[in-house]
Amino acid sequence: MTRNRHGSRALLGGLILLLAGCAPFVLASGKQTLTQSEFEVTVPEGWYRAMRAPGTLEAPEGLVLTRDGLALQQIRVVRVPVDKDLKFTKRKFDPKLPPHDVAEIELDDHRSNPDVFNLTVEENAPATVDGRRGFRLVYTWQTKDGYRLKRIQYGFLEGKWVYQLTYQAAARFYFDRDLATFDKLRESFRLLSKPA
Amino acid sequence: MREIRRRFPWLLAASLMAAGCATTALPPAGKDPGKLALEEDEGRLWNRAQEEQEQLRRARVEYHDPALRTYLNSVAQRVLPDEARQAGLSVDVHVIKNPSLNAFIYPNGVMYVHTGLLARMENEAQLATLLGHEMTHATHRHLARQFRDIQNKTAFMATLSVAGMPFGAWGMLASVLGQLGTIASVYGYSQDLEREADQEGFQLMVRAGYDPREAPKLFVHLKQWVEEEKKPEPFFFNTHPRLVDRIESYEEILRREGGALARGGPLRIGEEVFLVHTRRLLLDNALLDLQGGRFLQAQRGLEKFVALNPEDAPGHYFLAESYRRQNDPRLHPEAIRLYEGAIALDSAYADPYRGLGTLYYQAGQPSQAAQALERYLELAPTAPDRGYIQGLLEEVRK
Repeated sequence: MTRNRHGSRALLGGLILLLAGCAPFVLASGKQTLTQSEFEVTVPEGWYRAMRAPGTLEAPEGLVLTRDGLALQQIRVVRVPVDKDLKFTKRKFDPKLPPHDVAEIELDDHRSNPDVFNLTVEENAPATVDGRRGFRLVYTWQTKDGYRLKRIQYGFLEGKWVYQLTYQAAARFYFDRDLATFDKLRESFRLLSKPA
Repeated sequence: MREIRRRFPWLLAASLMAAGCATTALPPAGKDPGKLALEEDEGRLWNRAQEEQEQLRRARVEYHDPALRTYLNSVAQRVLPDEARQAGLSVDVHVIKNPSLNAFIYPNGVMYVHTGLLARMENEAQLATLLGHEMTHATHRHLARQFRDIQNKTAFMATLSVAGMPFGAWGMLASVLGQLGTIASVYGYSQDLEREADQEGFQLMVRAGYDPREAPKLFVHLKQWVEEEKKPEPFFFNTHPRLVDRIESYEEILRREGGALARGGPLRIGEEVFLVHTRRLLLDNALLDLQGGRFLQAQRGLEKFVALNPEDAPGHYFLAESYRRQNDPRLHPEAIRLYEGAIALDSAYADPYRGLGTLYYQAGQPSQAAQALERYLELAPTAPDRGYIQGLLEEVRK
């Protein structure tokens, strides 16, 4: 009997652990260190970290955060290898590109997405992130269903990597509400070392 | 409205099924006297077509060049058969800003042609071939016939699917029925209907006075483009086997009927008039290719543009960009030559200096980079990218 009870508890515990491991989002606040991506940022209170890329069981690339759901707002901090194929444009990054070219490639990739309509660039200007020269882009677009989204994106090249810090939200209400939070997070961004 | 749109495929499919095995032998518009009388299911297709056209309008994907649209519609009017006009069917051609090789028509005669397809054509006779082919899909009521054919073949399976797996085969059929544009532009029609469009379209372009030898050339030309494209697009005219079908079909028709049909009067090719009207489009479409990193396509489009407009400095500049943006130092000399060509044509044109400065920066030649970037800022003191260029200048001066 006792053995059975112990067995059930172990099974229940295992199940809870398993479910926790599979949770698509976990509450994440404070300093987040991504050793593999070689950066750290401070996540504000009340934000959740996505543990799976949308529609998959895979962990997402880099850090993906949201407060009310990815469709409403998301912060994404990732780094991608310069030689990686982009999703929509066939243009490529190159370690020798100046920031305005890197910004233009980011925009071209987004413009080449067949699900992006009425893209309007509100700002395309130089910016620094953790002391690195890069760019700041602000743009809006419409989805196929007429849903308007707004994105602010910082980026810079470092060695063989392109770092991207992106905040995207529904253009109405959500974007303005969480913009200050994103700015704080961006200011907290630090590279752990000089990446290879 | 959204609710209606969501339910439309189900309603349409249900009504098609309720109709049982409907005939697919609908006569072409104008064959029977009087105005075209739409059958019930066909009327729903027309309504759906209007909704999809409204969606396209709202998405603002159209390319705006009123003179070009007037020209395209004048060619369409030449090709449209009198019988169809008398039956009340008109054709309205729109252009979509997209570098893919694509064109499609809705059953109500509203046609969309991508800039990519127009940019690859050589003359008006080739345009007339495409318009004739597409408008036959509308005049011969191909969409309604295709739907009835699908329904006849799948009614039994669909009935089973509804009971057993609501999101299975039935769901797939429903989703297909909700995407008329996708059917027309991606899947195309059955082989028989496509052949009919080839045959009738060929006769239309020849009757309108165009040189029949240009008909297969259009598809031969498109096939060459598709073969050069490493990552093919999904559209009908972007699909190699479909293009091979068209070439074979048009060559066969040309052998059989070309001579007889083309008898009497000079044959029209209309190269110059076509190139005049598509000149701006050629450049704009090449810029879309450039943005998508389709450098070979961009280069071919820009070379065509520069050949037609040898004095146009932006044409030379963008051609130079198509070389520089490939990040390949072996292409730098050609890019420099083209930037310098643009400057020689217009010494007050700032952009080639930015291109040169960026190229020298990439090549690790800071003094040449500084010289070109300084000149850029002199010529364009209020350029929106001034901040970037100043940052770059600070770096190369260090």
